[in-house]
Amino acid sequence: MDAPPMQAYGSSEGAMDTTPNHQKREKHDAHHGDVHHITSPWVYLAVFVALVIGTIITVWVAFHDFGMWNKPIALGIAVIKSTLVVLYFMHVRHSGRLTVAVIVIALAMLSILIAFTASDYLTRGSKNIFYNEDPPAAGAAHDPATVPVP
Amino acid sequence: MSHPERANPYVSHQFETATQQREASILGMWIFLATEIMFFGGLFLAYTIYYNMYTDAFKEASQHLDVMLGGINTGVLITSSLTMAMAVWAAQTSRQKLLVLFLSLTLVLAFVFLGVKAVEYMHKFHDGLVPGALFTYDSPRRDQVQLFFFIYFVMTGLHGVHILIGIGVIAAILVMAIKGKFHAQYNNPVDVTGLYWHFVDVIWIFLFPLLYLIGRYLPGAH
Repeated sequence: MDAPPMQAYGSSEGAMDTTPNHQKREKHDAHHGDVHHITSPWVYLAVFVALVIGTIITVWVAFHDFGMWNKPIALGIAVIKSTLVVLYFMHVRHSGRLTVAVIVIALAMLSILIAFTASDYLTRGSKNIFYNEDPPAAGAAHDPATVPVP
Repeated sequence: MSHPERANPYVSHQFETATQQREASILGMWIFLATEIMFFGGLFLAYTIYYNMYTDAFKEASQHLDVMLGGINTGVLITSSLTMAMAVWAAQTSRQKLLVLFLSLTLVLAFVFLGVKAVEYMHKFHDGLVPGALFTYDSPRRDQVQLFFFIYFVMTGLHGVHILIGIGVIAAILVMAIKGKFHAQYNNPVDVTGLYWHFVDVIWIFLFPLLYLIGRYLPGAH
């Protein structure tokens, strides 16, 4: 993207070169490999196969009890799958730094949104807000554990 | 004396080079997608908070979704992402017929996805699992299960709206492709449409395990 450095007047190349600037830039672009990276269909196919395998693993894992690890495994696979899509299908691996910056900033904002909200809800300390039990049936014995912290 | 914009007929006058034009369109699309990340991010956050509050109810509610149909739709969407990527490749290498073929395939798969989704929604109406006046679910966790289905319908509904918009955009791109507007020198619209479509795929990659697959390992689950 950056313009070619100014040629010093009088240098052998600059003095003779009457190419208009925009054509020079085209030439400059063409010299670098970044003109237009064309991803090979085989790469797309490989990513597709990886996505299908990832989906099968996700479903398989979901039907087996891994204790507290079921959700982290499912989310981990989803993150790997979406990273593959973003890097290869969406060509971010060959995109400019500005594009990468936009993505990183968006994800950073999303982490702030999630982290700050979770830091509120997860630290309220009342079992009543986070109960995992069935709601107490009418007339059930009084359970001190469900009394909200004042 | 040639004028800059005459140098390359596919470069709009505000750009100096084709590379600059392409990078500007890609950057613009990514800024839009950044707003989409925040848009869906808020919903994923709502899901996360309520999942942590009512984990058992959410796992119970998730059993009422159809893993088979959800899995099929995951496959359909991943495949449509592949055909979209192949369409971008065909445009970049001036393969006109393949471009039209791959865009058509993407369009067909998008309709298949919506069709499967419609069948799923109809089952939910039939089973009384649509939140609101029609919700009939007999369980002590009724309200929490209803909350799950509220989140389910909002998130998959919004995702479905994105599929619908994608269908419109891909159809427009397909018409332009049939007219032969895209080739190695000019294919930004195909490229940018691809970015949008893959993003919709990424959203589904997260929706599928979070909505359909939680609590499947529990005894008595089906």
